[in-house]
Amino acid sequence: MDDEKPPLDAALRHLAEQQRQSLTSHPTPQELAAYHAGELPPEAESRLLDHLAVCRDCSDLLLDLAGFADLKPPAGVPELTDEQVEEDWQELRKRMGEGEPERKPAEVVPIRPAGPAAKPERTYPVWLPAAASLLAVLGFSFGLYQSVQVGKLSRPRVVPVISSEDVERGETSEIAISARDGGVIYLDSDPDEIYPAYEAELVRDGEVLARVPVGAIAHESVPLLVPGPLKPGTYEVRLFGVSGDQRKPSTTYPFEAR
Amino acid sequence: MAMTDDLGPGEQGYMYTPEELFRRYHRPMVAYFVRRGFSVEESRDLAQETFLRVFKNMDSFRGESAVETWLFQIASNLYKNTLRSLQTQKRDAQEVSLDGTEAAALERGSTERDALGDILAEERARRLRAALEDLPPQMRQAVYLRVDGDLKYREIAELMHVSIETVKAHLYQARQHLRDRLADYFTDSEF
Repeated sequence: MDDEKPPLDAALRHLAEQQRQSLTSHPTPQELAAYHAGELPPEAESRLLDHLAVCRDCSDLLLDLAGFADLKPPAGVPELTDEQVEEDWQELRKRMGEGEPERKPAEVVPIRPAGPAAKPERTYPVWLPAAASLLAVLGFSFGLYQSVQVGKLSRPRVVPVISSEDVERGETSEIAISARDGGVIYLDSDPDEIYPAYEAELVRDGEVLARVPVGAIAHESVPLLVPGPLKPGTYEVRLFGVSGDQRKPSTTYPFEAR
Repeated sequence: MAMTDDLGPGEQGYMYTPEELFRRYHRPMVAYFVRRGFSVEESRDLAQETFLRVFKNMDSFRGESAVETWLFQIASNLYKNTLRSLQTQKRDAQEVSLDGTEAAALERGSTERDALGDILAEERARRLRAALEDLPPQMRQAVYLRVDGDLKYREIAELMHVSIETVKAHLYQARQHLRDRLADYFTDSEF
């Protein structure tokens, strides 16, 4: 019988294959991500590990998640060239432009602008005081209409959409995202001050943490992804209009990281 | 005003516009699909579809995890849906090739299984199962990942959220245990 003894590793692979064949389901990407983040309870984690032990597809997926930022194609397959990346980006922009506008009017939260220190320089036409006096004369209804328009211009809208409970409507100081997790902030540009391109700065306590080119703002709105963790505190996203060599402050969007 | 000049993508306090996100993660995203068996051209299309979904649903970023994890989830959902769609087409038309996709992956090792099935006597199989059952779960999982998954120590450690030393210790003890229990039934294997 000794002569017929099969190798242990082959027998183990055979058993694993038997178990693989009996698998009726696979963890969802969300479950894999939760496991990766260490957020599954111990029992679920152990069950998932039992699955991974015999399921190469899922273990491969999870390994790819662990190294996602630097994932390379398999040996023999070249990485995309810069030209191909550019081509894909232009194609994607085209497809985005063909779709529905990105704005989510129902979720837009009007807030008051930042305080004087944080508010970017804004130039008002010299005729504005005269126009305001005229409004008083012209009556309440027209005045109301005009105040809405002015209000619209002076109220940058910040929509952190990380979760609805983070948004308390109408209160500047309550615009918050999670300090631990970060979030997404939708910036609405001023429709009366359109620039060919924009730049955004993330600022905390006067310190510019990051500066990114925004490009043109399609649909008057651009989402900014601010990943966590962030140091808790008050932040601003400062938007600058860029035209040629000129860079002009456009709007300041304050928010809290808690 | 202080300026952090060297802050880059992935660092704390950075922020992404859609274009930044695309340029940072497009190549890994294409690689993700190529590694699942799709051609480069198919992978570029799938990566583009993924980013389209990302941008249209940026509010699905809940921030519970890193940006990579969020992108991975959207890409993986698309990958699974694409597979399902391909498999449905195959069932319906019996003419769609799934070479290189999950179907091919599921077939891996089936030939080996059939051959080995013949040589695994029932008694051996029973003893092997019993010996494995006696191992602590983590040791058993490490054995499968090493032997069946053919993974490196580092990869097993990554998957199991333990150190490489722990993986080595698990495998060493598991080997000893299986040798002791199964010496009469199987030839020894290094793993």
